[in-house]
Amino acid sequence: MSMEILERLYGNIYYLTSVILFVIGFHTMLTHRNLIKKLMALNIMDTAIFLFFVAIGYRQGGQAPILLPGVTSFVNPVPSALILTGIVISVSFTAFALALVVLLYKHYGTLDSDEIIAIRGKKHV
Amino acid sequence: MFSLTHAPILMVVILLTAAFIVPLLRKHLLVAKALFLGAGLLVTILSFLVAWNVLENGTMVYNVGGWAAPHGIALVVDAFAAYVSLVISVISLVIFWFAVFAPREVKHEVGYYALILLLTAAMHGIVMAGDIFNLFVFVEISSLAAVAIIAVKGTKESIEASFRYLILSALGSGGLLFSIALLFMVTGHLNMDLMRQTLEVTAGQYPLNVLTALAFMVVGLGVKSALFPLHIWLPDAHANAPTASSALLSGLVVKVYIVALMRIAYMTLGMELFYLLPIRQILLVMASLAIVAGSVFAIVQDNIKRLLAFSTVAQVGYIFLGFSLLSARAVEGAVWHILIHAIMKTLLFLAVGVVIHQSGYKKISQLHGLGRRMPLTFACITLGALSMVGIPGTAGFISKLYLALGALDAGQAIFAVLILLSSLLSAVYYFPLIITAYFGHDASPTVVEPSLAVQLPLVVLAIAVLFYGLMPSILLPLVRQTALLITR
Repeated sequence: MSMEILERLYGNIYYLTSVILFVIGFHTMLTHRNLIKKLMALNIMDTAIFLFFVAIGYRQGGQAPILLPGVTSFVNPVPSALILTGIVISVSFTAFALALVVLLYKHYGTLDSDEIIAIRGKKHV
Repeated sequence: MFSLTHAPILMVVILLTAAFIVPLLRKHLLVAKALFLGAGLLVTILSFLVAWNVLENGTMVYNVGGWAAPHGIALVVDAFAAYVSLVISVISLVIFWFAVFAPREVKHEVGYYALILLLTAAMHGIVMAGDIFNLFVFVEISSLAAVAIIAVKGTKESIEASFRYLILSALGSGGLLFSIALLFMVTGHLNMDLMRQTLEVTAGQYPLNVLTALAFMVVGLGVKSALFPLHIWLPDAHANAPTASSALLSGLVVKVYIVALMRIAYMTLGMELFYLLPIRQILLVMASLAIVAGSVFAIVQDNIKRLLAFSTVAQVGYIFLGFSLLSARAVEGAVWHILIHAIMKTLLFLAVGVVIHQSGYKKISQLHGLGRRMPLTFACITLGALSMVGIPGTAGFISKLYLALGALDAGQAIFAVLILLSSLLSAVYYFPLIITAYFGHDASPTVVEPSLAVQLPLVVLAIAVLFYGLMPSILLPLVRQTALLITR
């Protein structure tokens, strides 16, 4: 019984890993106060989704999808192609967010999100 | 008569091309402005033609690059897409005009125009996308551009607000991509129509996948469209943006994500599946909370732009309410509200921006007697506020009427009561604005009206508020067809 569970887990190891990574990223993003760490967590989360997406197209022992004699088992190229776009989007998000972090540091002198909120709050009162 | 085959893609391409040319014209500001407005005007004309064509000949499907569905990327312009596209192009044209003629609020004008063009292009792309990954890409472009048009103001507050928006928006994008991955897993297609055909067979076999995908999708797009408990980024973001950005974000951007959700719901999942799951009840509860909480928060605001931003939270609730009640008239009401809220919220944000710029006052309590100094601007604000409350004769009445009748049709009279109650609440927070402006001692005799070019968009929008209030029949065929798509 427990062997069966282990085997099933092993069979879905990519999905399992990506979900774990996703949760790590999500949790870090919501609980850490440092803005840079938030961005790193965001990237971990994105990577988890990319892994999940690419794993959908993966096939055990599959080859690159180029028509050659003797090759019969292919990896589905569509998810990989999509994820290239996804990576570009994630990079641009990160770059833009880092630019905003630089500006935030210039204005507030800190990277701690709680302190930034505190500084803002003081001004409102 | 020339063919309209390529019109849908042209709308996106024209705006994108202009977005890349405009920033190069820093030295030729006049040319840049002309190009900016010209692109907006051209797209507006195209969207009118497309809407007319869709009404005459039915849904248009455009295969980008000539590749048909399973391999290529399709743009599907049905009545819903044509209608929302029309709303986007007309409202954004008015905002373009305002951005060009209003006093400068940002450092790099041409860069700002480019961002606005990019955002508008992405919005058109979202509403017309027939391929779910293409939709995701457009959602990302619009998210990034939406954050950027807040940050361009360069103040402390706007940067902090835009960073928070960016993080939550990225979280939403992650959710959306995850749900696309899960749906791709069980269908093997990205084309939304093919996805639905496959889902009819496979959804029963993999219910967990579909359920998880739906949850991620509703949360992902819910964050972006500021559905109630996920709205926390909105008030700061919309209140601290430059005037034209606030109008664009509040009037159009949040709604485009609702449209994306509804299009995925009826094009990809099929409405039966979408509403078999408890999603509908959850959306109803969240929408009702949004209406009440948004209004209650708005009542305690003294900062005018924050008040308008909280009012947007409530109005997003109306649109979700209409879509999740799912009776014909409720859906029509929600579809109406997309247009009508765009008109009145744009009007209010632009007019309030003008008032803030001319007087320097940001708070309601400072407005004493300004109504006498700026009669035209405040006349427009009054009209917008009356419409927000839903006084008969203004546009806001029409959509609220449809929503309330729709609630009765759906047999859920409690929501009709909710709509009435929230109208009262809107009166509580909009009337002080008008009353303070017209009564009280004249505190600022030096304030004057802005130039006529700045006031033109306000007047146009104010006329639109009255026009749709008095004769709403002009867009009715398109609204009817849209509602049919969703409720069939």
